[in-house]
Amino acid sequence: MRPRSLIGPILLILIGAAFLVRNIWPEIPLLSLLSDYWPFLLIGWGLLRLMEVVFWALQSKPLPRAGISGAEWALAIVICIVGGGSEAVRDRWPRVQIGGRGVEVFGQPWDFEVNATHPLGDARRIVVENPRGNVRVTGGGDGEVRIGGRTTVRAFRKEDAVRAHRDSPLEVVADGDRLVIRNKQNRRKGPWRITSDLEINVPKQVSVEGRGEFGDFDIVNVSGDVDVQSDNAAVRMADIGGRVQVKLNRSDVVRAVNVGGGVKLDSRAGEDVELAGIRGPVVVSGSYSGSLLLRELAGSLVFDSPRTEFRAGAVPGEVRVNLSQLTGVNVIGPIKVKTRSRDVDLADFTEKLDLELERGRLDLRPGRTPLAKMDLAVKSADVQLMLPESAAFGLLLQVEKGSLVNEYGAALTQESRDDRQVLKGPPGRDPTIRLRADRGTVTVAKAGAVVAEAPLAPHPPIPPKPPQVEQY
Amino acid sequence: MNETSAFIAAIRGPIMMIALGLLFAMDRMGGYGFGQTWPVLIIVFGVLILLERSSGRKRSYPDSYVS
Repeated sequence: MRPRSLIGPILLILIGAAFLVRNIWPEIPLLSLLSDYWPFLLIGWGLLRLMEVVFWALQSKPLPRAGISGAEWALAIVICIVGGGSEAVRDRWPRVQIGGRGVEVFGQPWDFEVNATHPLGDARRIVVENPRGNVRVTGGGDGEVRIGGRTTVRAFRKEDAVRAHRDSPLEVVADGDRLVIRNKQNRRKGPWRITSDLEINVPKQVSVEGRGEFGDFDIVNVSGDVDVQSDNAAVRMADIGGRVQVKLNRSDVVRAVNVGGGVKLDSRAGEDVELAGIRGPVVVSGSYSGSLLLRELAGSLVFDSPRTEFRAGAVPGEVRVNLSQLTGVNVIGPIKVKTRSRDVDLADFTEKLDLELERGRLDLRPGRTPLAKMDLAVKSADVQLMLPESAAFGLLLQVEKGSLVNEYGAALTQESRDDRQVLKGPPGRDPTIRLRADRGTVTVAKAGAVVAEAPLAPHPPIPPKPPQVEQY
Repeated sequence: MNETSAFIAAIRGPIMMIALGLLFAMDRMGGYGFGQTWPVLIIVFGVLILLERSSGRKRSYPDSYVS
């Protein structure tokens, strides 16, 4: 009789022991240990089998045909896939400390008050470094910087929480023209997790700089510049006198309302953006999966994402961009739009429009006179062009494969040669509106008489999202 | 069947398992990633088959040819 391996019973014992440990000592992070050290399970398994085979061979017992059976290989491959998967997940979110997960679920929170006051002195710039937790900076007040709020430590035991809090002092250091508020949260890995929610009251004339890793920033009523950098944050700003610069990795919302200078926003994986009442130039870069709402921009606008480029001279009205649509009302040129697959709808725009669209629908209602010049290149889209009757323009539309519909009137002449269709006119005018479409239906129609557009009804602002709860 | 070749056939599985574990451990500890090192598994497998063949060559001929 062939000898039987020990590996089956040993696996059963290990699995039983693992469940027992989980039930009796839940604070031992068994899953995270497994996800770290599972390759050694394979090594141990292989060594055990190897020793068995050597042992049997020395005793001259009959050897199994294969040292490891098919079923064992199948189990090993499942382990590799699950283990490898857990690493892939961790690589995506590098900040996640697996050891802290148990604390998140099983630990208890302990709160500690934060309370500090510091004279502003010569400082012109307040720097807030708060790695984890929300920060709210409010301007207005006398010559003092007042810091309140609380630090929350999640831990299994009170001693751990107290120790972790003691090792995480809040420093306020004057450094030249900067006043640095540094929350030295204990970075040591341990069975605790610290977050601090700070409320900071500053004199209005300062600039504010925020540095964080995980947590929101709310900055209100400051007449200097604002500069925020974080890994993962929602940033809300209102009534800022100077320039605003925000650089984030991930964000669920960035909102700036009433900013005296320009706004520069870069977010690698952002969601929603709302900018309103910005008096300087606006530059938004990065990629955004939610919706952008840009309103009342007195300066130029540059929106640059991997899929879409949008530039405008100013936006007295509004521009909305989401994954499927790009809408603009009351936009001052020169305008440039370059996008792959979207429904583009522009109304009441001036000066010049350069547009490249691959797929989608295109609705243009320039409305105002003098009519904007247009240069449109479309791959495959249904285009509607509504031109006011009184406007002076020259038209040259070409559709390679598709149809051209002239509802404007006899002033335009239509030709077709092979598949290509051309609409031109009125005679004697240089073309100011050019369009080339590869496929699709292009319709030109008369807009109603030019009327002074009624002022836009203001849109209600996006309601604030509830403060972000840490989630892993 | 030659005893040595049977022995090598029997330890092939365990050795492959150990090699797999080592590569993943290396990947885990921040050396070369498994995506780079997986060909090692093919090499180890090839070497083991080679050893098995060379130790049990007699098996590949009918007995009548040998003696």
